Amino acid sequence: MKQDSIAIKVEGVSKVYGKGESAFLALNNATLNILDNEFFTLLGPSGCGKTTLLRIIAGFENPTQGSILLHGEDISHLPPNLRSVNTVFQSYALFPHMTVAENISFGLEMLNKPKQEIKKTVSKMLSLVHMEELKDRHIDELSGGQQQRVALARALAPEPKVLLLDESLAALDYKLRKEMQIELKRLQHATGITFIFVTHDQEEALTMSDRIAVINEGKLLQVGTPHEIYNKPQDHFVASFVGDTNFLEISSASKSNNNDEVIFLNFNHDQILKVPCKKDMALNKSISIAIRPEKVSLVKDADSALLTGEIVDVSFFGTDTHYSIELDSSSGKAQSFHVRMQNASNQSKQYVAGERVGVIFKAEDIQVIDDSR
Amino acid sequence: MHINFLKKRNRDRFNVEYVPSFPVLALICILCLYAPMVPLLFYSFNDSTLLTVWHGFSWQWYEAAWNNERVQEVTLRSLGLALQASVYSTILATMAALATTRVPKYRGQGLIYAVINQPIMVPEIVTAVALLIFFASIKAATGYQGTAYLVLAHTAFCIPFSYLPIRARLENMNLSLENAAADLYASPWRTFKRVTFPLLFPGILAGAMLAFVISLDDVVITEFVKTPGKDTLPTYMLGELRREVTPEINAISSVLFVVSILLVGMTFLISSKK
Ligand SMILES: Nc1ncnc2c1ncn2[C@@H]1O[C@H](COP(=O)(O)OP(=O)(O)OP(=O)(O)O)[C@@H](O)[C@H]1O
Ligand SMILES: [Mg+2]
Repeated sequence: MKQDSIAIKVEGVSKVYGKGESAFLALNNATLNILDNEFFTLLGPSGCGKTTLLRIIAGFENPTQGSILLHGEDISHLPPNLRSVNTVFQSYALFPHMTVAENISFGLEMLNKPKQEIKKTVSKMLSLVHMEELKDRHIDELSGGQQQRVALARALAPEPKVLLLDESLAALDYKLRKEMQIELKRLQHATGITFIFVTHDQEEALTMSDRIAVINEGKLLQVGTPHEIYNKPQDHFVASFVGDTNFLEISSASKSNNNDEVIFLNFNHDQILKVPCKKDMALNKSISIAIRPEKVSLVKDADSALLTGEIVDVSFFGTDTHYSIELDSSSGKAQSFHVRMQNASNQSKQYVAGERVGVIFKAEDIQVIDDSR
Repeated sequence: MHINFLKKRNRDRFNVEYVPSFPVLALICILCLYAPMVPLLFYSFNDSTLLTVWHGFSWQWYEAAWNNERVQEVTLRSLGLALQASVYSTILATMAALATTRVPKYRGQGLIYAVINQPIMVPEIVTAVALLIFFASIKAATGYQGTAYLVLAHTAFCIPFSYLPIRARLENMNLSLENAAADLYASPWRTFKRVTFPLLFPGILAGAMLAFVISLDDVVITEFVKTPGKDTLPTYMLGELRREVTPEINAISSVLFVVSILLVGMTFLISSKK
């Protein structure tokens, strides 16, 4: 198995819709390497350009600039039918005048595969998606989840090098979606095909992907494993879009003289935390940091705490409790802060609304956000 | 009863069906449209040469029409003409519909749409006179006198009638189906053959049948363009009516009426099919 070879290379791709006054930049100079055998997710809010990128890879849209390489070969100017890339459409787009089996065999027939082989592959696909019994049904006689599985089988049958899935699970109800998420992972392992999966659901992206690319307003903001995206967001948008985050403005910070990849942040009672940062990070304005609510603890003793404040809201969630805190601030600007503490042991202290508390966290859980990017 | 009516109104405020007297109004409209047909149908079965006095039931006028060699001749000519015109106009209309819905938007698309539908907007007599003059100059130049002129003329005014149901069907057909076919390695031609055409077929059939009826019924343009002495069924009937009125015409009209109703009815059934 070619583990780390690149399946799809997106090179400086931009897409402008329309001309003149109404021109709209849907994709802004996106560069991306998607590896063989990878479950890769494009994550971003509605209208950020996910479908546009997918349609460019599939060949339904020409990039205004840049190129797409499939295993090193430039496919930018090939029509969709000459690209070894298949799509599971958001609307499924199953052929209504064909049965389930005919839908699945369509791609193989178009590739002029021998009849025997087509039959074998179709029955293999039918069993892969557990649809053997329904193979002679017409599409309008299937449920949404069943149609979804037919769409998957149809796209997988010709064994494409890359499979594109556009918000494939969005139309399903919660339970079915969870089932299909597991199914998709299973299929990807079983077939060894590279999956490029589009979603605007950050939880879905985190649980399913090998790597994630976060996109906003046509710009590729960060590419990384779910861990990196969640724990080391490099961007204000990434930090806020993926999971919940507290943002803090730190006005008092300094840089070390001999090591410019470290920044010192000043907190209450002259406590200083040493946090890694980008080399070219400018210090001329206040520093923005992000901390996940579950990485924070509350203490009764305000004297040793990094920050102090008053609890304004408490919500009990069984496994954990969420606290909403209004921080004391010198500038008079109210800043709220969220804390999520596990109710692991019954000794763990409970706080009530109105109580004054101290907030502590570790330096390694702080992510410095460079807003100047 | 009253409360029931209010509930319905709430559910579907602007649906004309819930206007109180809607069924009555609809009935009156249908009566107005079809009342004139009743005496025509009725007296076609009259056992008498009189047009307005009932004498008894008989098939004699249908038999007379069936055995009339002139009627046979013009009917065959009309059917042949309608068949040719509907086939040609449907082929052209299908291509036009594909070219106005299945390509990226281009300048002048709206204009093309208007041009295709022009025969519906322009008064038929104007088209007829124009064609008369146009064909006369071709006749003068080439000397050709045959039926091709009539076929051409009928094809031309049938195009919008074939075009509309085909276009309607194409617009309701999701482009993503054709995208999916292309995605699954189908060339543009195979995409058309395996996906677009089968799904479009009801629209094409509806368009062809509508064109057939329109061609079969046409008088004005045919009267102007036909070769003298080579009548179609409607122009023959017009000629007969000028000489003497017999219930034979009633019988022929009744048959035409039923055939048209059947064809148009089928057109609607087919084009409303999924
Ligand atoms: N054919 C088009 N012409 C003009 N603008 C378009 C076209 N297609 C998409 N856009 C615009 O480009 C932007 C990106 O669209 P795209 O469909 O890629 O978004 P998306 O990320 O897939 O969103 P969603 O999650 O809602 O599907 C949107 O603002 C959209 O309005
Ligand atoms: Mg989309």
